[in-house]
Amino acid sequence: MSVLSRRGATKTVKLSKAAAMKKCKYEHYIDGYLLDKLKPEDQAEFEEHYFICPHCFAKLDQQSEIVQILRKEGVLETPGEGCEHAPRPAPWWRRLLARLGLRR
Amino acid sequence: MARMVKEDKNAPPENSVLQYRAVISFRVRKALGGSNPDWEDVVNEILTQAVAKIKSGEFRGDSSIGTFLYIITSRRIIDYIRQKTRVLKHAPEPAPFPDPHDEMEHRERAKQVEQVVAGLKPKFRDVLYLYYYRELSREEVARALDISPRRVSERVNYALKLIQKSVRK
Repeated sequence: MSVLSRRGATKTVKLSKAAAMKKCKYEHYIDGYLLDKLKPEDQAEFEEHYFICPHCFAKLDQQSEIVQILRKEGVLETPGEGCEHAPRPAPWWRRLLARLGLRR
Repeated sequence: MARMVKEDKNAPPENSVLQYRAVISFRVRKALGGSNPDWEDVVNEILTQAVAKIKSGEFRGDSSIGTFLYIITSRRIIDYIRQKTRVLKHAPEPAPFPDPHDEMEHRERAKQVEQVVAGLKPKFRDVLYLYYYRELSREEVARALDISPRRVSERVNYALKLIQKSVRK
């Protein structure tokens, strides 16, 4: 198996300039895929897609590492004040609209 | 980045198949778990199998080589999972065996990400926290913070861009 070199197997793939400028319609699947939130059929579709789309794979590879770091304990777990699921006080104009029954 | 779709008919099959090593590795690690020490063996088996199939003429070029490799990879992952569930149903999970060099690079990048996150305004950090750490949907984050889902996407994308800039190699 000498031909199957180990080098570069886990390296994050760099985005080429051309790839970085292009936008692919499958890009919006990246987050959902990394967070395991895609429907099974969308997941399969995206997996097949990134095998043939260097642009999406480069983005996926780069974002995967970042998401992994963000999900580690200690990086994000001390959110700013008022973030414990409790909604922040609505701005005055929203409260006014709500009171008038025009919104929410 | 390695071009994954340029296929030279005269090049040995190893060349075109090896260009997909990173993609196959990613897919296998995602399915098996990054800490599973078997992932590298599985990737090598897939690559060997693909080269053999191309040499034997089983791959006729009806689909792209990327699709062909995707199918082989998916089948091998399913086989692996079936095999493991059968054989190692109650076996303890083996300890991870990370490459020290990759580990060091990863730690370095993690530090950079942490620095950027620490410097973010609370409104961006809150969104990242709820979306990535608490794994809420965009709509749930929007409700929790009383902003629109569109605003959630904007904040996530903005924060990610800043982070990506800092870790770009």
